[in-house]
Amino acid sequence: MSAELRRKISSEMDLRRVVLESTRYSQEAGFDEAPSRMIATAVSELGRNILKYAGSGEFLLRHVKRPSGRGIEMQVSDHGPGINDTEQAMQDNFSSGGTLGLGLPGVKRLMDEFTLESSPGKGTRITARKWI
Amino acid sequence: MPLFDNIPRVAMQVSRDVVVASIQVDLDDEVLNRFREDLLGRVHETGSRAVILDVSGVDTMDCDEFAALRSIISMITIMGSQSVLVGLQPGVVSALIEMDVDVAGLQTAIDLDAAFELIQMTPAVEPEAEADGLPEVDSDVGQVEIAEAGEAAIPDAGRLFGDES
Repeated sequence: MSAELRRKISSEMDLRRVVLESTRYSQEAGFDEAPSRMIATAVSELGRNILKYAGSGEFLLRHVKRPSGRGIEMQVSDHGPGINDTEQAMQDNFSSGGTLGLGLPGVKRLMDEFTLESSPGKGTRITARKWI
Repeated sequence: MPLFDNIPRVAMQVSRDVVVASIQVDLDDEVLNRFREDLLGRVHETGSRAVILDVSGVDTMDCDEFAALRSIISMITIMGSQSVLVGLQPGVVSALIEMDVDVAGLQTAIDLDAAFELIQMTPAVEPEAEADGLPEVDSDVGQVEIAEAGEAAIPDAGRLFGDES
């Protein structure tokens, strides 16, 4: 089983690569086709937010264990403008960019666990897990 | 078009009065922009009554990519042509539905044969009326199609252009 996957995301090309690598990583971790695509889609959503709002950020994917089984955890962080109202950002159809929103409620549904930490002016960190 | 020189193109062919676009590359912004221009140009040139978008080669599609694809479909509709999305992979479908994207009014088919069948079942739009590129507001078919997709079409199209500014 491969070690953690740690990448910097600062361009569309980086994002593409991370999405592909995440798919492979999830499949190697034991996820089936559909859930591994869901994980990759979550990565794509979060990575796109980094590019849109922060310019660049860090991505980490790793294996996690709990008594009832295994899974993976992703951590996506940036030093961008942060999110003023995290509660509002978790509501469907909320957008601060006047476009499609941050897609965070969608990412939460794609994954099993989801944590959003953000302080305005300092940055944002999202941690999400999915269990097999 | 030198602007697009190194950007991968989406393969397109015209078959039985239908433009078949086979998307086998990742849909980043540049690919999508070029694809939109190519596709709208092709529909305009050929006066095709329908477009089949084969996305069987797309492994992941996030909300932005889906919205961009939808806006292209809206543009095709406004031109007076019909669009069918073909070959969505199970993983892509699961992800899109979990993310609660708007799928209302989308025409989809399981494979190319089914897509052609679906198009045959829909009354044809007069090709010569379409050749000038004007929306089909005079024909009954055109009117129905625009009315069906109108709600989704207009905000989507605006959003895409808004994104680029």
